[in-house]
Amino acid sequence: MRNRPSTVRRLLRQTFHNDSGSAPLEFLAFGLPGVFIILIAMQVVNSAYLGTVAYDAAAEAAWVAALADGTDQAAQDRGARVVSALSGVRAESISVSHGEIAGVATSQVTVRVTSNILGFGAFQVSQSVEAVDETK
Amino acid sequence: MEVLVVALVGSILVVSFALNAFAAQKASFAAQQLARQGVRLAAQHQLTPPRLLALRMAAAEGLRIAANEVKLDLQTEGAVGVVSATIKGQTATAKMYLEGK
Repeated sequence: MRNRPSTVRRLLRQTFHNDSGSAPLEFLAFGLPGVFIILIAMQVVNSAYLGTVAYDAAAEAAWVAALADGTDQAAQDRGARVVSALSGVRAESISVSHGEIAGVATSQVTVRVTSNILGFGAFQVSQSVEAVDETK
Repeated sequence: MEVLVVALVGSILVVSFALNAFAAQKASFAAQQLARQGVRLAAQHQLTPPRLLALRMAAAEGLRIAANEVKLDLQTEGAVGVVSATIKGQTATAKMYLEGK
């Protein structure tokens, strides 16, 4: 099987009738965008992971807030504990609010998390979970 | 060129697999949460039809899906209440003694 010349090598041959030095150019033209694409993919996957972490923490916190003897402070503490169990993930804020769904009292918890891996900590991922209150 | 194509196709495959896996895990967390909540309310005899509907709607809102994609089933085995919650194919079951039985 004959080796096909690469695109950069072909272009250099056509333009300058010489393809020496094509390897660094080829790395710049295709290697760097390739690395960039892989880094973007890793960021997307990491943000989805953080979304799952935030959801888990918010679900636990909402569960505590909705208990008959649950308090907002206890819910925030539970959410913070879930997030702090993972290294590299920080809880930026955990807020508890109360509302209604179809006339039934509910507690809603919103958890915002960041990670240094996700855009060097510049982006926040937030998730909200609502739980139906027990009769208090 | 080949490097770029492999990086692009590989990344798309990895990202789509990861997004699916994380969505399934979130649905699993939501099903567990729903089953736990449901069985606690059932144990206290508070699982009324409006509450049942509110439970399903709350779970659906959190996952941004329709309420009819959330299934909640309560059965009793003697003095034990058994609640099964199914969300996007993920099922969780919780059991608890019913008060006053």
